[in-house]
Amino acid sequence: MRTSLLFSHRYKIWGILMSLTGLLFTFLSTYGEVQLKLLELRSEQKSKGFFEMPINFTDEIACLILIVGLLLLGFSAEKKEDERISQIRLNALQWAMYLHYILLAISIIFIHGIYFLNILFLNVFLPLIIFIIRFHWIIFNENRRLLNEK
Amino acid sequence: MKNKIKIERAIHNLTQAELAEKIGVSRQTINAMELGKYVPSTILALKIAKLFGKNVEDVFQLEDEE
Repeated sequence: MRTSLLFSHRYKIWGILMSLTGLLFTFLSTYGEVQLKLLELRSEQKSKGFFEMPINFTDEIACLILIVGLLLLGFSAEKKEDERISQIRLNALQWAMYLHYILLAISIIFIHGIYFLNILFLNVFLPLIIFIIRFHWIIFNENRRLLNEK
Repeated sequence: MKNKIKIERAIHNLTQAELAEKIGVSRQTINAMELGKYVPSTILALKIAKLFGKNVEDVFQLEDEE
């Protein structure tokens, strides 16, 4: 993976903050019916059909913040970027793809009807989350192995 | 692929961290190479060989299956 496609390391902390905020508000607004007054739409304008405007944008904004946060967190460069890290990143991406689609296939088999919508919703974020976890898990293991050796 | 990085490191009295610093990679990379978990790029292999004052083939050897 070319380093130029990665965000600078400085963005990692923003990624963490945005992901946590987004995660909190996504679940609160989707499952907990929490709506922020701040994000109420003032106008009464409503177009029908596919692009019907919601009254309150809390869940939309929360989802977007979560997505941007996860992207920043997952794809910001490490402090020391070298070829080993690139290889690890590639490995983690593959893992994320495989695991994500395996889980999706299993849930297609076992979960039906309206409950499947929940799975689809999770599917938006799952590949990124798996990737982030796997990537940092490998790095953590390598660092731990280094400490044991020294 | 076999490598003699650890041996050469000992000859030149370098720790993994010191070698990593000189080459410009992380210590994980050096460690992964020594354990045979990582095959370096051509540039990295050349840099390491140059640092040890050896030919690339003296430090890295192809195994029979490759």
